[in-house]
Amino acid sequence: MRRTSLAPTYDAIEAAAGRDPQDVITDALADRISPVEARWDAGWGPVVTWWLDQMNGRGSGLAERMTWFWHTVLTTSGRKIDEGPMVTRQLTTLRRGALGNFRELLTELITDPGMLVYLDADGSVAGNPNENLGREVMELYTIGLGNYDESDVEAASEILAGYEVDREAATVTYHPDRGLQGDITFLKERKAWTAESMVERLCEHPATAVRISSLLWFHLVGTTRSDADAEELGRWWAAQDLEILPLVERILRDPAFLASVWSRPRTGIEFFCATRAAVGFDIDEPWATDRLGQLPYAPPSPAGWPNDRWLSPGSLLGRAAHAQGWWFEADLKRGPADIDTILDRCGLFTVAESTVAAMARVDDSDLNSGWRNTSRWRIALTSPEFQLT
Amino acid sequence: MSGHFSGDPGPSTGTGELSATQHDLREVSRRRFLGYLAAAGVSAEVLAACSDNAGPVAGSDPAPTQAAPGTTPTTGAPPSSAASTVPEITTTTEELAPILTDVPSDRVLVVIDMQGGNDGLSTVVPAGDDRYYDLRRTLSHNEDELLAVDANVALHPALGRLHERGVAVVEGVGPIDGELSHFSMEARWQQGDVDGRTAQTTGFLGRVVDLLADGSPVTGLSMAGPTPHLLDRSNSTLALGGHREIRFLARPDWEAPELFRRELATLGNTGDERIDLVADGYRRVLALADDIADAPQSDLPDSDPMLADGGDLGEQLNMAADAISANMGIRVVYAKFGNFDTHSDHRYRHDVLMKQFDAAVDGFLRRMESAGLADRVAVATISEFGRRAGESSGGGLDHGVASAAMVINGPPAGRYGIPSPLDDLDIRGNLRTTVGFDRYLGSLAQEWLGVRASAVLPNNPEVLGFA
Repeated sequence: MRRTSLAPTYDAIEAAAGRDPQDVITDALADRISPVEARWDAGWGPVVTWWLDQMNGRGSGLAERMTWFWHTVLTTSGRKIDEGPMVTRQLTTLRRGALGNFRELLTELITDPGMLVYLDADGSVAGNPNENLGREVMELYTIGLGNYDESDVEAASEILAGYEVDREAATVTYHPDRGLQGDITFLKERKAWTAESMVERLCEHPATAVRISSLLWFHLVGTTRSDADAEELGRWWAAQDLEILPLVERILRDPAFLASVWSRPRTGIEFFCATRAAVGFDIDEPWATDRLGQLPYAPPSPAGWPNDRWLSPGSLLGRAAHAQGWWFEADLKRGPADIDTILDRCGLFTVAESTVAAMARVDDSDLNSGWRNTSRWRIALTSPEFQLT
Repeated sequence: MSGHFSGDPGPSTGTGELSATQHDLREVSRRRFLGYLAAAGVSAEVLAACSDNAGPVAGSDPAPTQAAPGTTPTTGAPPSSAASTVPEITTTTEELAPILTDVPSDRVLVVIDMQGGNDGLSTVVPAGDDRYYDLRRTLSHNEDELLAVDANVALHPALGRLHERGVAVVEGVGPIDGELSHFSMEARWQQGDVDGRTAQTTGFLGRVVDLLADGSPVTGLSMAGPTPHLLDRSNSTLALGGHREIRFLARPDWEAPELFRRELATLGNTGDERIDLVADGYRRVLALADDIADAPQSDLPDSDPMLADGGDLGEQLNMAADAISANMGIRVVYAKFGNFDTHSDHRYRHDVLMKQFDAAVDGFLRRMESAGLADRVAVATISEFGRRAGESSGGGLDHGVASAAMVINGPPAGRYGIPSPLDDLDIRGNLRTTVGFDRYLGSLAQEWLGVRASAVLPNNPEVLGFA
């Protein structure tokens, strides 16, 4: 449940306890979400705040997690887009398509205003196109390095030329006269390519299904596998026409999913959401995600957030500081006091003796009962167990 | 089986009246599907999760313990277009020794990133050039307030303390073929990519750190959270996001945080590598916090100008002063300052920032002086671009190209570089680059830190003669 929802609440876990795990997975798979319900004409900040609330809302489940997953893969940065309408439109696309069809999702995103701006294809003109989007669509979003050469990058960039974004309206106009004229050779085939046929061709490539399904496997299961297993899952997914929901189900029903606990670190956003879910929902501190290294719509690069830094000293310091944050104090003082309940609320059903002992030693202090509560909670939220998923 | 780990329960459980075993079998069976511990195979990912800079990881150089090829997660790809086609700078292919022995080997470079694009003309003012007053009809400084560097150039009026100390000004610094996007130009400065054709998968400062790393706890320190500037390969950097917290962790000011700090150090000791790895990470943070707290002179009164007037930069540099004094081996510090993106109301906003800069940097150098470290430390500014030569409506300045940089307490005070001509603007009305920013960065590396410019930057940039 830690890995199907971003913010598993104690109530939800309690309700699931004792049931057949496969039934719980069935319920999780039925989760659906609303698109973005408002539109902001300010910058990207309000959109992010709204989104974090959705991730942490009581109904937050698999669909919110999958929306987040796609944002980490098909990522853009509000620091570059910085227009509320564009971020809103893109987030709407991600939320609508999170459990739909990957090819359709990518087709929509490749000419999404925010994406065109982020990867410099806005205003790109055939003949001398900007190559950023053309390269990344292959390198990051589909077939990956080694499956194309520089002439394919040039061709993809010609194919993606001709689009112009109206940033305030978040709309896109295609100017045929600025776009590709006639035929071009892309991935060894010469024809009159369009953005749509290019995405379709890239999605037919077996490497795409393998790459993307491997990313999702890692996200949900947290383990790495042999190349053969990765290829097998990719082949299977390709045969499902890149439908996302069946892929999610197949991964969740794999015995490895239930067997893998603490297989990877919680990312910044996962820690943020898990903390909010454990403590309660009335914490309004969205910008704390920045200090935790994972402010939505602010990835460090088009490749998203590096997965190998979540337990670095700087990152752990951020988590300890977060657990000490003023925004928790009132809730923690009032919150449940006994160690068992705190650990339950944190979803920690397996704990190290040293963690329990540290929480128990709080009683030796001279602190009043409110601060003792707070201290027990802080230890639980910073415990090594809570940093893993 | 319970969900507990066996193993050493930790150093200080002796007094606990509440035995940990009372928490055994915490209804684990009821929730076995959640509490299951997989066969204790330690995830490669968990083990890989312990370096400390941000930004992209080179596809050609994944962390050795990371996923197998074909299953590599999102991070495994180069960040930008040129990365896959431009050869990486590797010191191993250098014929010349990357470290120069005639430069003292204990120097520290503090880089202050003026984010948003600092206006060179308002900072290092061409007061002797009539064109300046024509271009800046409402935003030019009063000539009698300016702080003269020589007959032609003066510093912003708010930089009095630094003017007194002496500032090395570097004029005309900018990119070749500049872009006007913050994002793109930040990336180019971060990577040391002066012309947009030599993108790197590491940061310029990260590469400097790689060559200076000597096994000390921290060689490169960011006061502004993880930054691509310090993306290194040797894992010798520490990023402090909330710079106040690390000191708080070491010297909590009352019992609740003190208890938290004490207990944080007791976690782990389980024998489960995944758990212990995280706990060891906490202990490393606490040790660094102790080092910093033990450093001399770490507490300034709130009334000190560094804190009272230095803004967020003052706090970052105060903390940096602690860290440098703590003798952890720090050679490169990165701090972030701004917002310099003054599209409107430039005059007021820039004045405030200059005041803060003056107070913060002067305070930092006072602290270095009282720690006896002043001759080792230089402060240098960078900024992703300068601003438009002419004013826009609303008293603002749009994105530009070339700017001026300042180095304080390092090279002899005076003028370096070549002023951008005010009568030969580019097609958008921007100041032209006369000194590629790689020459500026290369000079800081080579002439201040003793790291050969060609070992950390493409195309062997010519240095400016800072020595």
